[in-house]
Amino acid sequence: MPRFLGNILENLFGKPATVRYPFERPEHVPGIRGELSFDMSKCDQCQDCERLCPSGAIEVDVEGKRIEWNPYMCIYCHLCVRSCMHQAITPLENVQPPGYRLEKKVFET
Amino acid sequence: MPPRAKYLRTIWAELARLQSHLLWLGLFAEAIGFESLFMKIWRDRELVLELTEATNGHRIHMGTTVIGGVSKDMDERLRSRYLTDMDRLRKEVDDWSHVFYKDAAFREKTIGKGILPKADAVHLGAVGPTVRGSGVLQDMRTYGYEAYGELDFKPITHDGCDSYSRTLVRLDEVYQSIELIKRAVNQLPEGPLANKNDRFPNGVAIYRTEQPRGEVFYYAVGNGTIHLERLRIRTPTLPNIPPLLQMLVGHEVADIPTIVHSIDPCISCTERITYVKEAA
Repeated sequence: MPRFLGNILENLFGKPATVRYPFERPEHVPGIRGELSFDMSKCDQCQDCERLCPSGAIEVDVEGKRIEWNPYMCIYCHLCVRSCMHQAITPLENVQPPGYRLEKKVFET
Repeated sequence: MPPRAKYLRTIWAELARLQSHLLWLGLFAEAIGFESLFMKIWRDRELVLELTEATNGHRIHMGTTVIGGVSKDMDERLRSRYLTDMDRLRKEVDDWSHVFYKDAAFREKTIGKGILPKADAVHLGAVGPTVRGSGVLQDMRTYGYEAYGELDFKPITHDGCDSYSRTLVRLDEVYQSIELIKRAVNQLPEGPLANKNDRFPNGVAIYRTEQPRGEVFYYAVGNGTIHLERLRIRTPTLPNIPPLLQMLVGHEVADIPTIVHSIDPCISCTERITYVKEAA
């Protein structure tokens, strides 16, 4: 019973364990695997990222010099970031927010 | 493999075990009817997930193991965070573990339910906490892969052969994982993270490791090209299904949820066969 009472008091007066999400957002830790951003001035369209991507989220258009990245297919493994020879892919430290439409992100020179 | 990579892999394997066992303990508590205990355990699991996120960038699937080592490192600040968080987690687990050890309602629902005798556990090929709950000492970590050989690891077994002893195996393994992580973080050697490897695999490899649910078996055949010739993964739920059928015999319908939960089933893990048709 004393253990029980302590628990009740802790729950009554203690802080909640969760974050009130839409009003306050949790801090993202450094090193989190977030969204990708392609630096097209460094990219030479070698297509390494497209070939390695396990979920097929990256499409490289060699002639048009543009990259389409699908954030809803991406599994955020960052194989592309590790494999890029020119370090043209920089991950952002955020989490892809939920969206209403399945939009791809387009990176052009 | 470099020793630092071995230790880091061990630490992350134990973190994965912690999060899996805490998830299971929560679900099991809920299956028995302890709703608030489930919330409490999952709140403490969040500690482990945040720690994983801070090191690996992901919360559950770490994606840090690369061929010949690991891809992420741990700095001094993270090392001290690991030690303080593990102490904190231990305190939190102490706060609710007495329910599993002593609570009358919990013992009533698990002791003598889902009995798997020692001989049947061996005969039907059970793995992981299911077989260790029947008193059989079978744990792949005793073979000392990665850094387990240097961490003075001793597997946990219980002789009850029922749902209760399977629960105790997992609960004791939570405490053991906390100790193993602390020991590995303290002993973490310096050195490179991965060996460079630029050749395609050629030959046959068999590897057995201990996952939270039991032994996982990898069989791979390489032929010196970029593609593997054959790959077979046997996840621990598959060998635990025949023992489950044995356990269910002779019990009441109300006991089924706890008995099925007691092997920690992951049905999505069992579907691992991909048949690739060769071109004529």
